[in-house]
Amino acid sequence: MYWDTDANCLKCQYCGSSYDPSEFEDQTAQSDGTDHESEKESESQEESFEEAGQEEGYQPNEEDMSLYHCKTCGGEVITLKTTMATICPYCGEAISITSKSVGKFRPKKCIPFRINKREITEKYKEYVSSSKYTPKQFKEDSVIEKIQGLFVPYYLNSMKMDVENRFQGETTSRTTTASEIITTHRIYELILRAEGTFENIPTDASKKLDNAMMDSLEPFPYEKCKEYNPAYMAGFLAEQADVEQTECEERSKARATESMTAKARSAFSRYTLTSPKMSVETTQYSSEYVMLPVWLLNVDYHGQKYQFAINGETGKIVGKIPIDKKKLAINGGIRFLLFDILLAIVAIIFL
Amino acid sequence: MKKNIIRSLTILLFAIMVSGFLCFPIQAAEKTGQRQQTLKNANVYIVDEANKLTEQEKDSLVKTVEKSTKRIGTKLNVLFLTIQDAQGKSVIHYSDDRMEEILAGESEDSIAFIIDFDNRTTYINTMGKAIEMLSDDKIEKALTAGDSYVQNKQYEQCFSAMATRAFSYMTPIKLFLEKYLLKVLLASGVAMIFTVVWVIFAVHTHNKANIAPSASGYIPENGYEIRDKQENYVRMFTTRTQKSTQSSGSSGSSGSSGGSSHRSSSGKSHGGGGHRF
Repeated sequence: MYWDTDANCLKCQYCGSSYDPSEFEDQTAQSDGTDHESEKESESQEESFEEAGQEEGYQPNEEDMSLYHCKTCGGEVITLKTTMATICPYCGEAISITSKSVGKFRPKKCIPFRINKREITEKYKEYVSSSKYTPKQFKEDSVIEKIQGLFVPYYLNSMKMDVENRFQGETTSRTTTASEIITTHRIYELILRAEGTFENIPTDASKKLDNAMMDSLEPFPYEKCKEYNPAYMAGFLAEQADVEQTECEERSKARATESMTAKARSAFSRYTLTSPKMSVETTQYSSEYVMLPVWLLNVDYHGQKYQFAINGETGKIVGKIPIDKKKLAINGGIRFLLFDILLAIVAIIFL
Repeated sequence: MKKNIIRSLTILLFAIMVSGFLCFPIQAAEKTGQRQQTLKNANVYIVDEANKLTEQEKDSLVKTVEKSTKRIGTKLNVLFLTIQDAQGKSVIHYSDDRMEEILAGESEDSIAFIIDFDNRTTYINTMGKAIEMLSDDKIEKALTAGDSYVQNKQYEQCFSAMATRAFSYMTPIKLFLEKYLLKVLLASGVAMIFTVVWVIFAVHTHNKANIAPSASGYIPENGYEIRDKQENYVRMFTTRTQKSTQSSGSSGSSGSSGGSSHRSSSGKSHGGGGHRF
């Protein structure tokens, strides 16, 4: 089964039948999040796929790795401990590791993928072709087909905060006489106390993904959020959160505080501001663990890895494209010659 | 008596005629002491008033001119002149007059290499296009090329060195570069600046900036409220800056292209320069 982004439903890749996600009982919904419960969940899912190792559940071969047997083809699939969904590399069957989405790791909501791989590929090609100095490796089909859909764990942070910003502000005025310029400086103590409410500031909870890149994918349309159902993961990769919620909370608070400070600065825009001081009190805070859709592509170029991320709902692409220096040098050389000849003719004729 | 008178007159007449025949070759010799040879790229005149050059040396000078003028592109009259007696004139005036006299009827585009033994000066005199083709500093360098030879009384080598050096500055490419090099360099400098600016712009716009939206976007309507805003005056101070008096002045600069020139007694333009030895 896989999630069909066009039809917005699950589809059987063999017979083409479609199914609504609600037809699949989310077996993780009843879990209360204790370890004992998660072990029982693991055992109950042995009907759908087998897990190698001890009765308690998966047995990691490496510190961060887990090993599963695909029910469809029996292939051994090695994944990270945090993997919630993956695709069998042998038969292409979607594997949903529901034991990873229990307890505190059970997302409340998710946004299903809206844009399919074909459309994403087109958007990516348009993105990398926007500059003529993009190395050709980034446009090759063999590279582009490696784009993968991934559900990224996020915390949506909501809070109310009281912020007091203090500045020293200065205004100047000038008077000119025949022999000198007289500048009058007026110094003020500026104080702004404000209350700000923030709703659903997203912070990604995966160590494997760059925070700045994930932040740049915003905004996600939260009105498209659905109640979490593993069916939405079918055919995509998914990762469990491996960043503590407290860390995400701090990051979101830092962004909110920065925003409050920016508003304070704009309130005192007529001053030159120095010596900023700030005190912050967060009066309310809550967070929600969700899965948001992202398409990812990694490209190797001259020994360096370049990662591109595409918002799976809005299609927004972020990622740094290196410059093909050879193309740039040739283009620059041709331009220099043309400029030189033209300017030389102008100089000889008119100077 | 009558017969004696007639005999005396006849002898006198014969003597006059013989003298005349004898003089003519001298004058002819004076005129034939001036060698003139037409080459493909130059008309060569060698006037050795001071009698310092042998025939072989004159041949050598002709060959030097033939070789050196191959790439000039303009046919010049080339005069090599040695002066024994400048008749009280400066080398400039004497060479102006002699040059015009020797090259009378020829085109004006001429260059003369002169060793004046009276004024103890080597001199290069130019007329017509040669004035533009050879600037003062190029004349100076050509004269310098011959200095050591004239000191050592190697006059043919002196002429040869001056001529070779002078003609090397008169090729079309060199003339073009001299005339336009500064402008071409200026154009290249500006083109380089344009190119650098373009490269910076291309690099800057190559990657679209990936900036996370401000968290202000997550503030709902009426989600921001200012509780208190204070602007408390603390103090005031003034600073005074003297106005700088700008000195106005202009520095004039003059440039010259080609060589400087003067007018001879006949009113024709000449260029040139000399070195004493």
